[in-house]
Amino acid sequence: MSLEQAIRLLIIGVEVGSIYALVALSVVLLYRTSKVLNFGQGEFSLFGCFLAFTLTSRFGFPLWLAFLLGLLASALVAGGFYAFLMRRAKAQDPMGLLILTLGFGLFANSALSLLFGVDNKQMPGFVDVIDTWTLAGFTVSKNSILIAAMGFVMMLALYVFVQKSKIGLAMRAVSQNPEVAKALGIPVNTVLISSWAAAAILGTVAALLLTPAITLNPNAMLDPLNKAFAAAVIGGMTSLPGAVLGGYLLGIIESYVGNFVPQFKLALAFVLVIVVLVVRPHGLLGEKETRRV
Amino acid sequence: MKKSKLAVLTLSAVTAVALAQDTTGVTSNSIKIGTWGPTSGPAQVWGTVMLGIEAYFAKVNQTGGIHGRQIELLKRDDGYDPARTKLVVKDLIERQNVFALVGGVGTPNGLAILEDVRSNAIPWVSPATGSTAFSQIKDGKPATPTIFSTYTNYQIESVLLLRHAVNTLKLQRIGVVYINQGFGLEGAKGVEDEIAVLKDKATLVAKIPHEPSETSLALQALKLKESDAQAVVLYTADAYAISLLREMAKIGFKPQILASSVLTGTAMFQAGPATGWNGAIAASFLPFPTALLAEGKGDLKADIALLAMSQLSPAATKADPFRMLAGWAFAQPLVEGLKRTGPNLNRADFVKAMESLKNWKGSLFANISYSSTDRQGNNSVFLVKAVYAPKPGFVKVGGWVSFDKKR
Repeated sequence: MSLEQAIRLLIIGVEVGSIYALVALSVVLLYRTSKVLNFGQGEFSLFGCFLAFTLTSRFGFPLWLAFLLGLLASALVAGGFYAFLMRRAKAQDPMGLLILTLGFGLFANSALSLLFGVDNKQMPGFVDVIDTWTLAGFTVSKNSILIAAMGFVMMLALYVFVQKSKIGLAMRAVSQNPEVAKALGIPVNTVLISSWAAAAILGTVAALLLTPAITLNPNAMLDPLNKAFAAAVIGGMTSLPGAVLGGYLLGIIESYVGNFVPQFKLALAFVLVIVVLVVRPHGLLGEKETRRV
Repeated sequence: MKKSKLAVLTLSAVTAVALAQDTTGVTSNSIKIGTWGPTSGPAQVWGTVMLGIEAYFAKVNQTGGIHGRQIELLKRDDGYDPARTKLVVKDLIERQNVFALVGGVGTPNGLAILEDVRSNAIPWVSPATGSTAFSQIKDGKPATPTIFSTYTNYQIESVLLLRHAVNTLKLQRIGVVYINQGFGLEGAKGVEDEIAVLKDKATLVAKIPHEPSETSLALQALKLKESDAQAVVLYTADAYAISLLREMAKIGFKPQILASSVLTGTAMFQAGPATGWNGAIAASFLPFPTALLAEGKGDLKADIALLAMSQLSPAATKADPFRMLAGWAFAQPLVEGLKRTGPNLNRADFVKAMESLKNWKGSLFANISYSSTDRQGNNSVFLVKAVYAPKPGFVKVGGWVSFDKKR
């Protein structure tokens, strides 16, 4: 492999990895507080996207306002989903909750198809998706730079939010021990609703940035979400920086392996998950979960 | 005698016995015909094909039906789920007692009921798929003698696209990008086989698969660029094709694109004028009416059909004229077969009547020919070119091209 080819593959890996990282952040944020993997995450994001698309294409809303309302809508739906369904089913074991999100995801996917149609829609974006910058002879997509920058901003914002804000502190308390947090007067339900809403916002940001490049349809987030689950496990289900690292690592490794064995590209993420689970079960940057006995 | 030969002979004998004087679904004043397609689920847009079939039957019924019989169409929604296809078609065959099937959207869906059709010897005209599985020949005879395909199959389609690239556009370095399943594999095989036949006239410089559900086709774009392909044949769904074309544009690579009929929907124009879709050549199993062209005169027969169906089914024709035309076209050979069978309609005579179609030009297809050893009736594609000016759409590129052995 020539150096030029290696650099081109690296660029492709980073471009795709940015999306995985952003979605993985939302997966980890939710898992830290709720201990749930949400299989309906993609549908929350797409609901925000479809709404933004409808507002801008049919009603002529400015793009920034349509995006903002899309984010708000997906946050409301996700928060409502927790408040009205997950909370009421919280006596279930984790497997029951997982099935609940899976069932909701399938239902929501059909609902999106019915409401918005199944055809591929051209989602408008802030930059032309084929516009590039050329750096030292290599072309880099402007949209990909926007996604990477947004991922970085989101990670910083999340860090500040979780580490410095009161609600972030409450989230950490709830993630460590919800019963004790409740006894100390922390409004656990409000914290959990906020977590679901925040995770939906992260996922929707990713979808709003990705769909202009790949077209918008009810299955647009299927692959990114699958990869984000894998990236979260690789980086560590409890670590926000781990999610970002896992996303980029997965994107880059996928790019190099996919170049030589394209048929193996889809399975690769899950092979990496197996390796990580065997060698370092808590992920690259995750913390070992310890339980006092 | 080889076991496979014996099996084919036995199958032919069983079919002949089953067909003899079988008048299931036929009364003195009606003929029951069944069809299915998705009117729910992710592929529901394809359900429109059933409305096109219905519109054509309505036209036939308005003019007195066939030998005094009205066609009664039974439509079923399978949600594009092969398991449901099996259920609804079983119902059509066993409980509703249809005389024949027509259309039926999707390769996996058709494959799910192939064995039922074969064992019950049900006539089935125009499976709505380009898979070669429905017109397979075994030991010189049709594997399922009651099936009559009209959709240009993907292998023939890809050969015709390739010949256009090599013989007309004089391009030699060929690449193919395909989805690693069903029609993608068939299209890629067509390209590969034809390259072997063309020998030194063309070289296959890239054969690149992608998996279903890949988010980005950037890797495939990079490989194509490295191969320096002059022409790239696409066998994938529109979302992937759009992603690939944009990734190619990003790295400044714009070879001549040749696209399968599955990419002739309007969604492809979202790729953008700066991508290789601008100027891409696409193959269609149907002719384009003037209304669907960006400029220029379309096919006269398609224009007339569109006008007729816009009066019979105005809303569906306005919403999705191409799939309406497809349904209309799928139904035409069936009706011709019913007419040719005569007033004493039965399945055995219907199959013979269908086999009598030779170079028949009475439908929207270029021509239809069957024989006792061939069930692939249509071997032509209508070539169009994607343009963005004066408006995004297709323009005609010489009209029909047909598959023959000349190269």
